[in-house]
Amino acid sequence: MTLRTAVLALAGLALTGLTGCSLWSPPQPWEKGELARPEMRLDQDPLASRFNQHTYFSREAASGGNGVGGGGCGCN
Amino acid sequence: MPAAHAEDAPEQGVVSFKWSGYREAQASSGTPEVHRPGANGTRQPLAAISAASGGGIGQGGEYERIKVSTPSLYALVPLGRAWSVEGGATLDAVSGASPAYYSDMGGAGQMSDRRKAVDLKATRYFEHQSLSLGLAHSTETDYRSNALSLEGRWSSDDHNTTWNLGLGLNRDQIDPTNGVIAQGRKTVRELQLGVTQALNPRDLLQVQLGYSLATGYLSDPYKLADTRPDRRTAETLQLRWNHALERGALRAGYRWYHDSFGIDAHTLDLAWAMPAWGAWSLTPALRYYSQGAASFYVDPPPGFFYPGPAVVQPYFSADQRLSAFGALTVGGTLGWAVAPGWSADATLQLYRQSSGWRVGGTGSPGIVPLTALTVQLGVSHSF
Repeated sequence: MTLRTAVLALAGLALTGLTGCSLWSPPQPWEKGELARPEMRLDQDPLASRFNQHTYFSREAASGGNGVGGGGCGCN
Repeated sequence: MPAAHAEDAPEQGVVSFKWSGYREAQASSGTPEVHRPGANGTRQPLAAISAASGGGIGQGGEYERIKVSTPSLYALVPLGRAWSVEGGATLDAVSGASPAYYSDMGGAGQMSDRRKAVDLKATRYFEHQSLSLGLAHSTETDYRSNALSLEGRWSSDDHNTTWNLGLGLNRDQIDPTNGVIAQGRKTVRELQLGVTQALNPRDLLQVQLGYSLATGYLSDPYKLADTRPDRRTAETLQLRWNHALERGALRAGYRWYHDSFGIDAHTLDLAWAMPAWGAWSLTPALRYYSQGAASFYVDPPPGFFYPGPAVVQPYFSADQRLSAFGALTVGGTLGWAVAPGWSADATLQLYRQSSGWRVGGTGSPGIVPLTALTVQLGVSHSF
């Protein structure tokens, strides 16, 4: 089993375990209160994300996956 | 630019300021087996040369590498119900040294530079779609970057499913201070396709596929004998899952990366937004990263003579960032809801990169572990 398969399987297992059997139950408009909480946003802190992405880009080979057209730097 | 999320036109504007500080170090000189030509033509081990000259390289001790101090600003302004504009400005003050050859700090020269970056994005909102146009520009002494992006988002009627498509074009120019190349140009074209799905009242899932094509001068002129292909394609698959707990939330992310340099990388991100305690919140976070080496990365063999390349081949790099290693970040963010519409945050992160921490293969030999500390202090106002 490759690492990737293992991670996806683990994520799937954790997802099922933590949320119970009703994983797929797209919410009605009145059921979206929890999803609207600030800590549930997918892009939490734009400035923190940018700085972190920039430092990882200058120290690691992998980059991307987080949006397009962000501009480059001489740091890599 | 941030990835798409299943949200509509913002009702509130935001202005944020953040200062980030970064400092990295490594434990020793790096490659003690490397030999340099001595004064009378003989070859001496690197450690012996610098100990004799009273230089910084020797046995034990820490070598400071790069230090960065970055104030940054961000603002998001809704304009009526159909438009929003957001933008950012960043000033990176960078100083210190990076190794030019594996993790050997002997040949690293001191540098000091300021990078200024600005970006602007305008978004038009429709009932179930939105369209964004973005521009980014940055300059530093030896590097200039310009980027353009176009993103579209389409939501289902119930807004539980949102598709996003993004296109990006970067045009960079490098004029290294050591004159290795003049007006080196690099073009990057990016494509991103994804979907964000509200699975149930507590779970949000996002899947993103990315593709990029970089052409032009891709080598690092500050790394010794660095010669990389003039074309690099990269693919990414990213998964993000946010789960609302009774109080607080769990956030997890995984990214798979593969490129034509032969590098495979995995990134795992976990964060736990703990239940708030009054006006305070704490979010511990963990990130694990692992990468394989580029096909043209060559390990430093013992007894190798500096400064030539280890072997003669069409493409070569001694850049440790293309070697095989793993890295771990542990940290946390403390949040403080100061007053209605005002919040402050402080983040601390410790990062360590080591060839022994790779999974799915052996790490590259002869590279010294790297450690870095990041501190971020921010304040934000919504209006």
